[in-house]
Amino acid sequence: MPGFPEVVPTEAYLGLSAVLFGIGALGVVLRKSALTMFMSIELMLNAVNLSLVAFGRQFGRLDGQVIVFFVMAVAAAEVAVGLAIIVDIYRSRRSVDIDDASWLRG
Amino acid sequence: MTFALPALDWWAIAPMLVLVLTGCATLVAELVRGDDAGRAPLAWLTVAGASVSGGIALGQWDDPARLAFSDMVSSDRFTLFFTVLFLVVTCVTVLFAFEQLRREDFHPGEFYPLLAFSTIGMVLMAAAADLVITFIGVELLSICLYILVGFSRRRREPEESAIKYLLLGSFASAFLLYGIALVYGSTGTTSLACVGRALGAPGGLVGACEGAVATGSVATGMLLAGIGLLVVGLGFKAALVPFHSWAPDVYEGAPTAITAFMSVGVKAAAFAALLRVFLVAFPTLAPDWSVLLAVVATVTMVTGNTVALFQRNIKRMLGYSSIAHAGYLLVAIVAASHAGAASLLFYAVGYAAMNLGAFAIVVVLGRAGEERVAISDYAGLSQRQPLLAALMATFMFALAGVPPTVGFVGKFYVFSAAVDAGYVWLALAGLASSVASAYYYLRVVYQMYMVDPKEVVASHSPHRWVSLVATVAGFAVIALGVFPGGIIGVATASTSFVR
Amino acid sequence: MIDLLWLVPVLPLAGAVALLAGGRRLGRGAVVATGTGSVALAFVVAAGAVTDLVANGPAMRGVEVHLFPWLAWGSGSDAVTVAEAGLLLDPLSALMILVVTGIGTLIHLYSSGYMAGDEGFARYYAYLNLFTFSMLVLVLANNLALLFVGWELVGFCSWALIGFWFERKAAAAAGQKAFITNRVGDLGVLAALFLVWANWGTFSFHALPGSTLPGVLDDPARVLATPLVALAIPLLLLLGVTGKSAQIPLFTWLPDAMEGPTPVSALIHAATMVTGGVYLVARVHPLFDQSPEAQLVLGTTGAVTAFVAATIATVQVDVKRVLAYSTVSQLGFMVLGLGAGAYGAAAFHLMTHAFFKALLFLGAGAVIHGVASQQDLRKMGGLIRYMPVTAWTFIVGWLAIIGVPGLSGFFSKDLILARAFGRGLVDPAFLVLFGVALVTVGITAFYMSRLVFLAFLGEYRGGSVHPHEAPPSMLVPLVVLAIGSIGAGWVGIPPFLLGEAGHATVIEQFLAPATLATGTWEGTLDHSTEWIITGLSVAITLAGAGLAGVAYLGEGPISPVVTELVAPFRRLFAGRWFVDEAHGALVIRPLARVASFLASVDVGVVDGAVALVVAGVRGIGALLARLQSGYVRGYAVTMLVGAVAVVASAWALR
Repeated sequence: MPGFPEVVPTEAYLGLSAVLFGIGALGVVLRKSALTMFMSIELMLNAVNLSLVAFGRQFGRLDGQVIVFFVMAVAAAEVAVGLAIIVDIYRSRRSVDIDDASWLRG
Repeated sequence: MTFALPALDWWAIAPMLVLVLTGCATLVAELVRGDDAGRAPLAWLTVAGASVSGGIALGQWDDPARLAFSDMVSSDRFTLFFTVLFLVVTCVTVLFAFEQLRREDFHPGEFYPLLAFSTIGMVLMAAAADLVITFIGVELLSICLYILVGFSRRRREPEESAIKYLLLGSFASAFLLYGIALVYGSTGTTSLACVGRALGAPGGLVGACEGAVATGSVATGMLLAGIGLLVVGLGFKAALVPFHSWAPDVYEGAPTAITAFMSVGVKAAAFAALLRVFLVAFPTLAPDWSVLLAVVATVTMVTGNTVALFQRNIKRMLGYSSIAHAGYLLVAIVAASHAGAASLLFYAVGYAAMNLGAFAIVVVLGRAGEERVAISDYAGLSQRQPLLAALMATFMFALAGVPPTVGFVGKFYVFSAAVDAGYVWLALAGLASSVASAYYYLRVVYQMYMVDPKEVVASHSPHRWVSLVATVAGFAVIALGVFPGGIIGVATASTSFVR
Repeated sequence: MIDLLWLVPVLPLAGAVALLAGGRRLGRGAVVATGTGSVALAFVVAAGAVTDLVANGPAMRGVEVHLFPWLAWGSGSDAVTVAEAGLLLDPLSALMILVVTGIGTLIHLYSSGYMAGDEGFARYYAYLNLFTFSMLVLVLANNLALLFVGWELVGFCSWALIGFWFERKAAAAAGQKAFITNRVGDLGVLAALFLVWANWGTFSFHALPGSTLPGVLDDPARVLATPLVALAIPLLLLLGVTGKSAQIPLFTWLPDAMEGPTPVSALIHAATMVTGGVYLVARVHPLFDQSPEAQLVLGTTGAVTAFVAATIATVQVDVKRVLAYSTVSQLGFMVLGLGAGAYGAAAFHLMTHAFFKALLFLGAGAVIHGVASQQDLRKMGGLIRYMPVTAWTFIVGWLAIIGVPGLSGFFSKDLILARAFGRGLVDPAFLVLFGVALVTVGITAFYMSRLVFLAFLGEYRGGSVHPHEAPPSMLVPLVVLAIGSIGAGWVGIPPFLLGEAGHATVIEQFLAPATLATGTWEGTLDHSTEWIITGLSVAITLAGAGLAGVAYLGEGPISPVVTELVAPFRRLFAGRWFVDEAHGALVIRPLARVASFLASVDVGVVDGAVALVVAGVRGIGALLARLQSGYVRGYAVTMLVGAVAVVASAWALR
């Protein structure tokens, strides 16, 4: 197809990754539900994963992909603990609105 | 079909392996004896495991420095120094927790394995020879802590601490990871030493650097952005301003034992990682990042010391105080020199003594439920508990940096390293902000010695182990202030990789 | 006995530890014996060491005792010591340790009577001993860093001892104020410390054995390489001096510190600790010699403080506060002497002042003790009839401080005046300062005479309280100090009074190895000028005292002895001219007005400036605390903004 490059350049992946990371960060800042915030953070991690894979591909080496596996494992553990905490909060407050958690301040 | 097990240097990670076994053993033991009476053995098992681990670390002191596990971890004196420090902090935390959880009548056994695993995370952060290991150390530490900060019978505050720490902590981890990715993308490697070599740093312990792209000491924008993101990610754990907002809230809400653990252990681990990363991977870029960190250090010292003036809760006050001390520690990294690195290690030890001592008093005086943590609860303590009051006063004066305590000597080392590196203004800014700190530390002493007790409280006999910790810390605070030579010698030997 | 010099600070420390450990288990006798005995023993050792030092002859008057390395860099055999725990005994520190241990012993003894009824007797003695130890560290340190340890420790002990009576809210608050105010001054010293570090890489006054680095005082010219630093180091040290030695603008803590027990005021807030700043300057004077500008600032600070504090003292009604302002004023004289480069003269005045001010404070303590804790001058009067020993020793102190010829204050104060005038011949600004000091001499005579007249002469106005004389344990120190107040000045009789050639007094010659200015100012006066200055100052003294006599001896029967005593003043100034009370009021009321104005300046401006700084700090803190809203999303925004800022500036560094 004319007009489209044969190979998608690394920069395009990096750009997409940066945009996804930014969307995730904005999600953390803007959403009120602890659950959605947590999902946004997962989006940020996966945005970085995209960068890592792109770099690995660029260097022609596997270590970028290997790091991604580490990140996924870590993220899974984080999700398990995170969801447990959020569920616990929900059970005691019947809400996961993060703005309710503002007793500690000053 | 057989797989040949690669030749692995198990001995290099023996202290961590012992901790893994300790954690698993406590987990199993907890299953076997699920009742509350079975908690004391868990605590002692943890202390025993940590002692064995620390003993191994001390035994490895004269081993040659080397990289192990495919150049992922470094086994050198720096690792061992921090390993021993972390293990001491862990043991003290166990003693605090045992006392506190017993009092609160809330004593799940998972506490001890989680503590052991988060200690492994801290050791990994200090030992990391590769950014991936730094990341894994941070995550291992954090994930365990997310649970531990919410560990209490009370619901509201600990729960809030946990969710705040969880959300902000994982937020910061994403920045850390992005930083690692950008450094990888710029240099083609995540090994600290290989990054350093790619950037033109001389020699040191370097493994095989396949794929590393020699970029010379001229940094690209992407690399510098990556460095900035690493500052964000690690700065969060170290509670540097502006990544500190979680610290006061989490410190206040968490059980005191965990607050002590975080303010001393986690902070030291974050600085160990910062030091490794910045002085092994990026020493040639020091002129670039040291200015940035100097500004962060100044803002951190000023913020911590001014906001602490307003605190009524002692845990929260110590939280802001720990932010200010993070600023002092960062000054040592700004110096980007061997002297600066040695002074950081010295300060970490001194700070551990001062802060663990102060928290020991907070634990001893705490009560179930409300915990009695308002500064005004300390009114007239000198009349009821003269020894505890004297110890607390010692810690407060030490934290304020009054000689001849370790607080003064530590600041001396850190600031004179900065002066040597040409950062006279930074040293002066640090001194000025530390002068303000006298005011809030002294308020505690003022309450203890010059205000009559509000109510007559039946003085309960303090837990002997926690009191012992406070007494030992009190001696250490003075002794290290008068005879700092030993520790500074060890610290110098532990940081010989810094040039 | 120089080998045993380490015992001098260690003995009081051991005493303090024993007292703290023993606590209430010790009987009162044991407490007094431990506390007083350890300091007295330290005095004996100090006297022995100083005797050895004097025997060494002028060329060898500087002995260092190296104890152990303290601050060092590096490990094992590569370790480089930058500051050791070491002692330096030279004429200056010799003078100081004799003053500290000697007067310290007397005050320990006195306290056994004064504090007899107090609950925390052992604790009090422990703090007092700890203070003595700290002060000895300050004056014996052979490097700036160790000196600073003593400097901070005396501040701590002062805090503990002012706040000793914590049932008194004012005392606790005063202790707090003193400590915080001094922290501001300490900031100056610390900053100077790091500039010294940046320039020398060592803190030693003199090169360490085996070191390639010169000591700070071996090579003061090194800072000249950077003129800014050459000026900054003395000025920063001066900030510390204004804190510790209660000079403008940080002097307000000292009068408040009078809330503490009176012997503490005598020891710490008159005789020893507050002279720490003066000692510091004399110790590192080569750094000041390098910078005439810093010397002028120093001299101006001293002269203005002396004047302002003296005027304020004229309107105080609390006996201890009069003495407190008097101390500030006298310290101003010393600082003026330092500014003039007459370090020996300043140290000499420091010593004589230690005697007579300790005497006056202890005398005041005996008075307060004897009239049921009354400190208001208006409720005293005629006490000479009830407590003759106290009164007569107090009168000796009075005559010494106002500078009646023959007593100690006369010689030391006039020496400072003469040196300031001499400096003025080279640097005319000092002539103005000399004038200010001369006027202050008159005001000093006025307020001190007023104090004596109101307290001891006239009618007793205390109503039903019956004054009684103090116990012997308090009187013995008074008598000893009175003898010292008379005789201490005789080591500094200027040659022109003895009809000898030359200018340097005996004490200055003794101190010269440590205090001789390295500057090149030449301001030697001929003997006739010295006669004129002395005559002038005596005349002004008599005028001031006479004025007070007119003002405060107007009514009531006065004992014939005293009438005899003040007769010369009356004949000279009052006589036929000043009998008119309106006339007296013409002078005194404006003076009072100036004084109360200055007092309000003190409270309004100085405290205002301090309050402004505090408000600024609190403002920043409050603003930052508001960011700590408790909302996670707010924190996330902070982090995000911070992250963007950090990454953007990292990017910009490219």
